[in-house]
Amino acid sequence: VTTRDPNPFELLRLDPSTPTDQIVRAAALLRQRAPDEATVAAIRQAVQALIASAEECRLHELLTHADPRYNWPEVEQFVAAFRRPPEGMPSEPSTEELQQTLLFSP
Amino acid sequence: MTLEAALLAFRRADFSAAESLLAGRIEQLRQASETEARAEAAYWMARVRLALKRAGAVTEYEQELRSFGGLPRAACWFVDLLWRSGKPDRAEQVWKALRGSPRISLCDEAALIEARILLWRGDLGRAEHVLIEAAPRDSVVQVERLLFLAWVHAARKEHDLTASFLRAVQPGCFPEKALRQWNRLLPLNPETAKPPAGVSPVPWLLHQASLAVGRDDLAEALLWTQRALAEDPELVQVGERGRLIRAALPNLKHLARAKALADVAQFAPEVPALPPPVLIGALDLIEQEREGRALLDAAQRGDLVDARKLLGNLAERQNLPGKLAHHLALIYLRAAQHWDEADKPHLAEPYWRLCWPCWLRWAAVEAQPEDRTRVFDWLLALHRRRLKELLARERMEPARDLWRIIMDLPEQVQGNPKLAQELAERLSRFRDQLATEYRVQTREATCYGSITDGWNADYERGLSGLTRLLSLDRENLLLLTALMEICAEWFLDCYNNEALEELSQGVDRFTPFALQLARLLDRSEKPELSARAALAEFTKFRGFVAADPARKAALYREALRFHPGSDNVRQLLAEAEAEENP
Repeated sequence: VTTRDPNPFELLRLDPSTPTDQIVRAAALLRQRAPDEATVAAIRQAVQALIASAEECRLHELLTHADPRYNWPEVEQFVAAFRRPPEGMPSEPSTEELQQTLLFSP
Repeated sequence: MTLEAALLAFRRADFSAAESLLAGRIEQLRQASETEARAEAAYWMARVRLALKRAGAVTEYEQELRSFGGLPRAACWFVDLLWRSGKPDRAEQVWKALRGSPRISLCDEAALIEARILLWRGDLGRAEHVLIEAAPRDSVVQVERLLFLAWVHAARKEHDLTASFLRAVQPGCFPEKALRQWNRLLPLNPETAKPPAGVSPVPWLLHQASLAVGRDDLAEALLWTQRALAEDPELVQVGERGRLIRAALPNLKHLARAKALADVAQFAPEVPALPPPVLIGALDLIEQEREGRALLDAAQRGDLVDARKLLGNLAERQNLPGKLAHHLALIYLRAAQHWDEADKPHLAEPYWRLCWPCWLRWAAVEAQPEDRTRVFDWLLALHRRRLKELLARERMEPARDLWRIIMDLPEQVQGNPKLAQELAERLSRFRDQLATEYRVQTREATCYGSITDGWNADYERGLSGLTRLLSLDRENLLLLTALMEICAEWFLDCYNNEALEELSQGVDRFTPFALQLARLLDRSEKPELSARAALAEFTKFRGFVAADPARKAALYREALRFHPGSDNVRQLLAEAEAEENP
């Protein structure tokens, strides 16, 4: 376990006390929404780290912050409700888009 | 007609004027056969044409490139133009072929190209290092260096630093329109920014809050939302959506507080940040402590120095709740591991010193015995690996610091004799395991080192390796035994190669270790047969090199005391006694 290998529970956005069957189910859901192959591979690796051996899983559990909270439905609803710019506002690039533009500016 | 005139037009964004001035200048320089100046003008011509979105701007420069006679800056400019024309892969490919050349690395542009490629690859740390080290003479390159440093800090969301680099750009040194673009790296100020003309303020403020959540700027999201509420307490301007804001507000406050804690726990920009949702459990426990609330308030004020100091005080508190100790142990572990992996042990050390007391507190009040074993075994294995790495590279000072941290652990739990005893036993096993692993490692080094013809091993390599660990663990029986064994093999090789001077010097050099082993064996209650045999063999060689027959006989007797079954020593003793009493 190094800081270069992401913590499998954190990567899967799971509470460290999640039972194994739920780990697999949550990972499958996450994989469906993965944007690229690298993310799918990382998810697979994280699941492997947690289900391969009970001993290893317990160690990961002990090396993970207890009681995280990954779901914030109220905040998500708020973000969704105000994601679109209000009427009359000129469209703006995101920070990432702006940074890419600046990196290649002529 | 000078290049400066064309550059002035470029800075004014009057690209057509710049193009015509440069065309004349290039022709002038071609006739005067001034290659370097012509290359520079051609580069600016390509940049101007890129700004004018003319097709073939870079191809024309590439065609001209052959006539610049291998000028290093001209090659750098080519890579720069490939980059600016949106061909980063080709730019990187050409750059890889060029970058090793010392003439290229002396060019002002080299650092900028390197930094841009690193930024493109997402390596902010190395890009920043390259930019900080660079000291370009060219004024435009100087400006671009500042802009890319601003880029680095913007990517890290260090808005104050971004602003300071953007402010450092002198007006008039760079096209104003382009600078306006760069200034957009700074996010809008949630306390003062105003909506564009004709846009309703409250929906605009809440839209900004939504964008801030999207980029994980949770503190800002909260500020935007609170401003919207101050503007329109009943949220009339957003109708039905108002209830979503009221429902989200407590969560936003919670997340903003978690983000503040994540900022505290990111002890340096290079240390990977923890996502705020991971820290919710830690946050809720910290909020229950008086110093905890103070540290979160300090963090939300942006006073991270004070917040980290308060976090450190919390970590050192004797009555820290076990669950919170576990969270703090993980926070400090992350930083310590990061710096160890970055091979910066002096930066890792303070975090190990804060991390261990938290693990010990957790072990004392919260952990199940088997979990304690799992975590301690894992941590000590990490330290063993690190110590071996440091010793292999002769980095004795950090190795000694780490050794002290580990060996002082039982002292930290003196109030808990059971845990102190358990730790002492664990550390005894740690020393044995480290010695065994190190012994195997040094034995391999002896076999595969540089071995002189006629000799069986590279003894010096093995012995110096062992003495390094022995300088930390002076009373380790296993290590001293291994040292005596290698010495005995070396001395035998010296004898066979008739290198008696080397043998004598070797005996003198390692006798203090033999005496140390003898003291330990005298104190030991166990038989320690292999240690006794190895020491007997070493003592035999001490006798062999002794000049005085009485001393020789005494040393052989000493060897027999350690290993009474050695026929060879018995025979040598008989010969020495005969010589002593002819």
